[in-house]
Amino acid sequence: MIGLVIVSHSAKLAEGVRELAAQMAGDEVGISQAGGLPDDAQALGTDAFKILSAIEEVWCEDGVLLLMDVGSSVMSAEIALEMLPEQQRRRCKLSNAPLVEGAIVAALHASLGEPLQTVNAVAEAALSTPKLANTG
Amino acid sequence: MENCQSQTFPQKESLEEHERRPQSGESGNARPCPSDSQPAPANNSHQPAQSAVVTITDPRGLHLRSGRDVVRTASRFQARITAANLSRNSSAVDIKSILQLVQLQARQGHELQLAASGPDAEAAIEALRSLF
Repeated sequence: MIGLVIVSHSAKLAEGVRELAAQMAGDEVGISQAGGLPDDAQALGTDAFKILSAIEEVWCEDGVLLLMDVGSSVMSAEIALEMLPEQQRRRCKLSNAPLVEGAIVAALHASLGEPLQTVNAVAEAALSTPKLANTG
Repeated sequence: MENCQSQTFPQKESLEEHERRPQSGESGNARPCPSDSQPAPANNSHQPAQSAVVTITDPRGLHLRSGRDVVRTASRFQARITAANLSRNSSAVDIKSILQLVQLQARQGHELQLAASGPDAEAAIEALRSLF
């Protein structure tokens, strides 16, 4: 079963998204968060070392999917991956999914035991699944 | 990206097929009807199709957590399973997708038409009906 890492500029947002994802996943999926800067929990920003720790926290052989909010979240996540040993790095994936929807979907499908690439594909499908479709 | 698109849109065609079946078989009554199931032919090209109408009973409607249970249950079956919100006149969505399921915006009292096709369609509908 894969692990998930929630990356956000805001520690509060990361915690909230993690909470939401955990509810979709149940207890079996490891979900960690890396939000805000290391020295000041209130300061907005992303930190590669914090993300690295979050990856290590949920590391498993099946792989780890990282879900980021925007902008430098992606760069920090990339740097975190570069700091990992090759063996681990190739089992980590940065998702293109939107953070909230992606985390909900990824958590649910991870809990169904689906592999990394499949979980990422369904999470990224959120990009083409509008909230308001089919209403009206 | 092919995956993304295939998750959202292709079910429209197949819904039409599902919808026609129960309606043509029963004088306008769209209620759950195990008796309208056709005997399952061994031939894969004629897989059994099942449908049922369920009413949302939860005062908070079909929300994320109840949706999660629907997706979990639906995912146990091979059958292709869709739902349309009859009360909103929506098109059918794939209920193995949580984001499509919550697109139905189903409130308490809304009626959903479930449709399943595939070898375990009947069991899928049976398992899902109690979750709404």
